[in-house]
Amino acid sequence: MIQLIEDLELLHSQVNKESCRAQLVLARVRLHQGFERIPAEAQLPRGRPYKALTRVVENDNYWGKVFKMIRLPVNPILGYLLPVRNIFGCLVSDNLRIANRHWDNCLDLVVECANVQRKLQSTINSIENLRNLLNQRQCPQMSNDKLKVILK
Amino acid sequence: MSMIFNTEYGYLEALTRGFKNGMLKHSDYLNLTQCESLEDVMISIQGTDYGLIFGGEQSAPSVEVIERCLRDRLLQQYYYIRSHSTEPLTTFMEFIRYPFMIDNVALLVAGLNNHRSMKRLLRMCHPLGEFDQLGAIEVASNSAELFDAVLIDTPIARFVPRDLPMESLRYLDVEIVRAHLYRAYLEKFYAYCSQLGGNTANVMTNLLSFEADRRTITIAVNAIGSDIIPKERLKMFPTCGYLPKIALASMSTLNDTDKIRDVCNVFDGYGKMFDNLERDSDGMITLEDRFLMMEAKKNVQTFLQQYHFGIFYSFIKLKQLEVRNIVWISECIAQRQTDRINAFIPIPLD
Repeated sequence: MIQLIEDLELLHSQVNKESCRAQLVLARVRLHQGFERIPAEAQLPRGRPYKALTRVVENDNYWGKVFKMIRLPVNPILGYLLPVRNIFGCLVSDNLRIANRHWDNCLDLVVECANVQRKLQSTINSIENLRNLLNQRQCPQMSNDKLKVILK
Repeated sequence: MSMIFNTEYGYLEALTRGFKNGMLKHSDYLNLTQCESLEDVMISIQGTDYGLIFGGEQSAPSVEVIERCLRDRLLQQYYYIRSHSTEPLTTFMEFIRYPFMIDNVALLVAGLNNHRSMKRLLRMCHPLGEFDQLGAIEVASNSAELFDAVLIDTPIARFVPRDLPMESLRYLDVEIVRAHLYRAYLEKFYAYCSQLGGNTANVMTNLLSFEADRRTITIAVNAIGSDIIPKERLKMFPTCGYLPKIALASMSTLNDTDKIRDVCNVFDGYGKMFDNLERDSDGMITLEDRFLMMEAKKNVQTFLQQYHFGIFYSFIKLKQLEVRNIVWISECIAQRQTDRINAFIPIPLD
C-alpha cells in the first residue's frame, strides 16, 4: 500500500511537470507568432463534428475495474481527424506539435494515476474487510451477548 | 539627396531614432527577469521609456493587460509618425500596416467558418490592422461574401490572388489563405521599395528578401506531414527572396527537415539555422528563434545608415519584438516557471 501511495504521488508530480512544460511551450508559440496569431477562441471548430481519436474504456481486473486508453488511427474519410491540424490549420509549427505531445503524455499519466488510485482504494477496502473479519473471530462471546440482547 | 530627405523626413527620422534609443537595454531586461510578480513587472516597465502606461488600468495585473498597454504605446508611436508623414513615406507606412490587416482578415475568415459572432471577432482584431470597411464586415454571413462584397474595396483586395477559389473559401484552410495574401503583399512591397530607389531600396530589399526566405523555409518545415500538394506549397512561397526558383521548387517537394537543411546549406546563412537544434529537446530554441535573432540583428543594422525609410520599418519590427519579449517574461513569472525566463530574443542595441 505504501508503494501504491508513493506511485500516486510520483504520478501527480509528473502530471504537474508535463502540463507546466506544455503551458510554457504554448507561451513560446505566442512569442514566435506575436500579433500574427489567431486567438484560439476563433479557431475552435463549431461546424462539422469530428470523432475523438482517443477513447477511454473500462476493463475488468482481478482487483476491480481498470481504465485503458485506446488511440485510433487518423482517418479523415471516417471522421477521425488530427485535432491539432483540424483546429490550428495545416501549417502547424514545431512548438505546437511539441506542446501537443506533452498534453498527450499528460493524458497517459492521468489514466495511470486513476488506475493507481483505484487499486489503492481496492487495497484499502480489502484491508478493512480483513480487519472486520479478524475482529469478529477474536470476539465471538461479544457477538453472542449482542444476539441475546437483541432477542430479549 | 540628404538635404532633400531632411527637408521632408528629417524630423521623423530623428524622432524614430529617439524612439529606438528609448527601447529596453540589457540592464532593463535583467531587472524584468528578477521580478517576482506581475505587479513588479509593471512597476519595472514604468521605470523605462514606456512611462506610466498602466496608470489608467482598473483591472487586475495580468499578462493580457501588460500586452494590451504595450501594444497601445506602439500604436501611438506608429500613428504619430504616420500622421506627420508625406508621400511616399505615407504609402510606405501603410505597407507596414498591411500584415496586420491580413491577420485580421484571417481571424475573421477563421471565425466565420466556425460560426462565431462577428461582434466577438471584431473585438479580437488588432487595432493597427483596422480599416474603414471593418465595421461593414458584419453584413457578411460567410467568408465568400466577405471577399466579394466587402474586401473588394479595401487595400487588401490587391493582395487576393486571382486563382484563389472564392466559392470554396469556407473549405480552404485559413493558413493557406493567409499565406497567399502575405506572399502577394511581400512581393508588392518589394516592388514598391525597389521603385523608390537609393538607400531605401538597398536596405528594404535586403530586409524583405530575408523575410521572404524565412517564410519559405518556415512554410516548408511546417508543411511536413500535411496533405498540401507540392504545387500548392510552391504557390505560398514568396519569390522576392535570395533563394532562387530552383530552391523553392525543390523545397516544395521535400517532406524531411534534413533535406530542407541540405537545400538551405547551399545558401550562406540559412543552413546554420538548423545547426544544433537537436541539443535543445524541450523546444525552447527552435528554427523560429534563430530567424527572430537574425531578424533583430538585421533591423538594428538598418540604423547604421541614414536618409532612408528602412528605419521606420525596422523600428516597428524591433518594437514588436520587444513587446513579445516582455510578454514572454511576464508569462514565465505568471506560470512560476522562471528557469526559462532568459530565453527571450536578444535585441543587440547596446
